[in-house]
Amino acid sequence: MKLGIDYVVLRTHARISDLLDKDQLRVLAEAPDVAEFLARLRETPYGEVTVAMDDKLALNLEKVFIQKFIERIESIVAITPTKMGDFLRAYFDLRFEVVNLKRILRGKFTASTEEQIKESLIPITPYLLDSYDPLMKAASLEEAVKLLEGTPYGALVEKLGLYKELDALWPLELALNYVYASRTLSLGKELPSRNQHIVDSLAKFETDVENILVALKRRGRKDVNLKEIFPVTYYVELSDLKAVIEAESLGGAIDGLEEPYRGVMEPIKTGDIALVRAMVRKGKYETVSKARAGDEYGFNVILAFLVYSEIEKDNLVGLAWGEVQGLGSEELMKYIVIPWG
Amino acid sequence: MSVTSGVRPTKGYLMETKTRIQVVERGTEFLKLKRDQLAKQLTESLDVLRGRRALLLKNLKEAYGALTAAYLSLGPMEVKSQVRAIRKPLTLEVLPRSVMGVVYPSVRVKDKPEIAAELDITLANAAQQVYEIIEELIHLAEFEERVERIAQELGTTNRKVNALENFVIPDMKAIIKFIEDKLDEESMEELVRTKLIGGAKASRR
Repeated sequence: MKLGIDYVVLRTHARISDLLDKDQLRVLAEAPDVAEFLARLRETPYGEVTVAMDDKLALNLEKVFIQKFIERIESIVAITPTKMGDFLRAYFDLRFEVVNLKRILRGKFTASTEEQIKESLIPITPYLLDSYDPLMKAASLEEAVKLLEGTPYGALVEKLGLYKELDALWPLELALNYVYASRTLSLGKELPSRNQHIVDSLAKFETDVENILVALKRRGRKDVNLKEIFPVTYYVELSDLKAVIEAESLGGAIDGLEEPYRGVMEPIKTGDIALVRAMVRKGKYETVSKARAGDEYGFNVILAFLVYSEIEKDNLVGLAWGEVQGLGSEELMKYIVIPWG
Repeated sequence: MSVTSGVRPTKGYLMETKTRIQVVERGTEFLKLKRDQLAKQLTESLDVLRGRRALLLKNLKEAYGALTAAYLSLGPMEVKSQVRAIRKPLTLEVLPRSVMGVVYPSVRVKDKPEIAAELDITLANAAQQVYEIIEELIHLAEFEERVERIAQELGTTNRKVNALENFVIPDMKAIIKFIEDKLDEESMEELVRTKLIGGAKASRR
């Protein structure tokens, strides 16, 4: 049942207080083993988590946290006014669907079994497609891509030529990124104008960061077709990305970027590349927090809650994996915790 | 049993033995040179091996750290999926190589794994580091095998030199001395016999 925005915002405020703060995450990170981790998790709003304690424990726990996150999205989307709900569904479900499609294509690329592919998928109801089964059952990657013709992912069929020419998956993966970015932004435009700024900031920030990361990976390469690799750019333009690719030093490439991108990429200069992902999460966190501070009684609060929830899900997935591996709390806290709370 | 038992004390055998001892002594000298070279190679290789191992351990820690960070950042499901996009396996070719007659296996990377997908930058970094470690491990294994075979060959050569210096050459020298003594004895007997015959002939005249 769709309810008024005021009611949804009120509910969301209440739920934001249920999110795990830094101290709670530290308590979880300091658990000596997985059993204790689960026992400590029981004391949080996550409650009892039951998983098979087998060799796929980390994967099983990841699925649990994803499921919990999806439930949060569903509970909010179900009561949010239509256009906002549509956007939120697109922002999260479409992203998960794009991830799932990438995983299916990777599976097909390496001739993985249907079972293996199915196991790697995020457990969501397909968003723009009817079902993932025909794709998983397709005899080859080409056949799977051809099945996307006539769907919102039809652009991938055009990239089949490049995929065959290079025998590489990245043209298809980049085309999927493009579908996600363009659809999210077009749905964002249907939101009331006062809500468009946060959507713009968030979606454009994500796309720009991904573009910079792709450019950094291609640094020093001469054969880069910029328009093909970066079909969509926002605040970081093609000329900036070209400068990153052509920069002589890594430090120079990063220093040439504007804020907030320079700050996000800063850990790369010291060799701590993985910290970039934490910085991206921090960037998203700060973007929605700023927007939330500007309007405590509107859509921004709902979006902020879902972004916080996603960050929490990522943190818990990392913590669970680290616990299974027996990593120390300091190492765990370094990469996964956003300094809020 | 004495080394001289069964020895024919003839001039021909003496000359043959003297020629043989010359060859054996030259051979021993060559073996000593080989031993010294192998010992030098081994000492140098051990120093390199120690350095390489220390470096490998350091790089291994860094690669493990990068891999851990990639897992923490992306989650195990995404890492597993992205790793699937690495299609070609690492293919190696093992060929025999030789240093100072010591044959050891030489490993060459024939095909490198091909990363076809748009790997996340954290995973691409970890994958690169892990691949470099694998290459280092392969080269280290090759080097360790080479060192082990050099050490084996050094042991064999040392035993050969010791056997030649302490047994074969002294035995041959003893044989030579024995034959020379015998021949001297025989020639003395011959001289005495000739003198006696000469004296008898002279008294008869």
